Amino acid sequence: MDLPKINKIKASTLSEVVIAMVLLGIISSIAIITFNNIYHTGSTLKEEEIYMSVDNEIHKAFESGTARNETIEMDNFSIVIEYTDHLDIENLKIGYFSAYIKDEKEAILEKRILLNVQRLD
Amino acid sequence: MKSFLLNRKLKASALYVVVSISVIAGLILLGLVFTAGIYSKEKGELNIRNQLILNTKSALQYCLASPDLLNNEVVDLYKEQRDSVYFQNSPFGILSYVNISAFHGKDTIRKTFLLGNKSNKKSSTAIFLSNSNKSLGLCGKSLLNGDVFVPEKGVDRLYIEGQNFVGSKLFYGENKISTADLPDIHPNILKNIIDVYQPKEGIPFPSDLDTITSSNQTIYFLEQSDLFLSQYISGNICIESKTKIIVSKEAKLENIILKAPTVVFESGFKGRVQVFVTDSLITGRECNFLFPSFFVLKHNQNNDFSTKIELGEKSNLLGNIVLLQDKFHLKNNGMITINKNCIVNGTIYSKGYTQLKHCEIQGDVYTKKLYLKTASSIYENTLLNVKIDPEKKDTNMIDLGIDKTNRSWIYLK
Repeated sequence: MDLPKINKIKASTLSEVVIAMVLLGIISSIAIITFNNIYHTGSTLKEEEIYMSVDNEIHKAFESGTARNETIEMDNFSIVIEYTDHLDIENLKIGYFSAYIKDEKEAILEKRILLNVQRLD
Repeated sequence: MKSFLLNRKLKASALYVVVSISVIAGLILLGLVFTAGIYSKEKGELNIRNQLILNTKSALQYCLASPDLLNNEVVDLYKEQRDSVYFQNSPFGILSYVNISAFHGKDTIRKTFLLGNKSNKKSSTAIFLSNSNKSLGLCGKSLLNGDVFVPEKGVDRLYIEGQNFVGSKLFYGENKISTADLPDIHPNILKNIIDVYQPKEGIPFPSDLDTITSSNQTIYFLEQSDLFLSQYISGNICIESKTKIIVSKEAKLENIILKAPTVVFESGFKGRVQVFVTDSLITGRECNFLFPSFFVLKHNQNNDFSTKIELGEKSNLLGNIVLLQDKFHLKNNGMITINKNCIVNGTIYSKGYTQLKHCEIQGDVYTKKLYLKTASSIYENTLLNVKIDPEKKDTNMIDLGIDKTNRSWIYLK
């Protein structure tokens, strides 16, 4: 009985595979670190929306010259505006603008401004 | 292990391919790392720049709320030792340029703002007539919608030029006794006015240019002869002539200072300008001086002629008029004349004569004496068809600080 003819498969040696795996491992780790870096430093569209909304509220405050504590609810986040008196100058307020993503306690963005609230007596 | 590795046949070409692919992949990743680094750095710098811009805006608010402008001082805006700004200010006539530098490490953002001083309280004074023991006479459709500071003899109805007083009340406010001297202008404002008259060095005026602008440093032009202005001139610019300046109605002047013994505006001129004269300031008909304009006449006591500021018929002025003189004499006093159908929104402050002719003052009048010359006669301390209404004064009008009220600043540009 003739045994079936076994085809010779051309394969890499064990050391080649080991070296290749080590190299790929190193490159993959660098890739993961790089990706994480970009992912964490880059801003999402949502964050951009929050930045723009906070800037818009600051602009409105400068335009109106009115210091009013309030919370503005947006689709997925809220902006909390709080004012305190400036220590040195009467009629000057420090405004704190903090943006919170829904169900999160830590503000994603905080900005401060000074606002002159002087009005004619 | 060593013998195991040595005994195996390594295929050099296969290893070479793997290493090559790894190097290429490594380079691509290195590029990504580099890009991410640049992106991260740029984003950080952008955030700092945005914060600095916000700090300059906050610093401007700090200035607006302060009674006095800071000069060469660093201020910690939020008292948290994190956001500091540096203030510099330089008077520009009755106004002030404020230079604000917000800094963080090596990054600095500078902005220059033009500010004007204002009172935090609306004036209720309609007229202050120095106490010369002569009553204030009203006739025609005169209206005083505010407090009147007049001599003990008070306010009387008069009949002149065939016109009697037709109002139901002589004035709508309190009657107070005036003093012999006018109340003083705020010392800082007076100092800034006097400073303009100090001799300064300048460069020749470039008459061949159509447009002259400056935003940061004050450019000072000085001419020994007459100047004729018909250009577009804007910003931090002071133009002085040792003789006379004539301003064409085609000229477009924006927030500049003119200084000369005599300044003449042609009829129909429109612009915003501060004018400082020693002899005369005359405007033609239908001139429109926009906010914040300002006229000053500094009367020289040694003059053997009368100096004057005269606002032509149907002209409008959104600003103040000031006439300064050391003493009131029997003759050769300075005079402010507001002609028929003129509207002045602001303060008229005259240490000489003031002549109001059928005009409307939307503000207050402080004068040593009132003067009225008609076709038939000359009257003293008399108002004929003049409306003075401090209620109509613009709430943001630049103020001379006469009332000694709390003060703050208004942003102009």
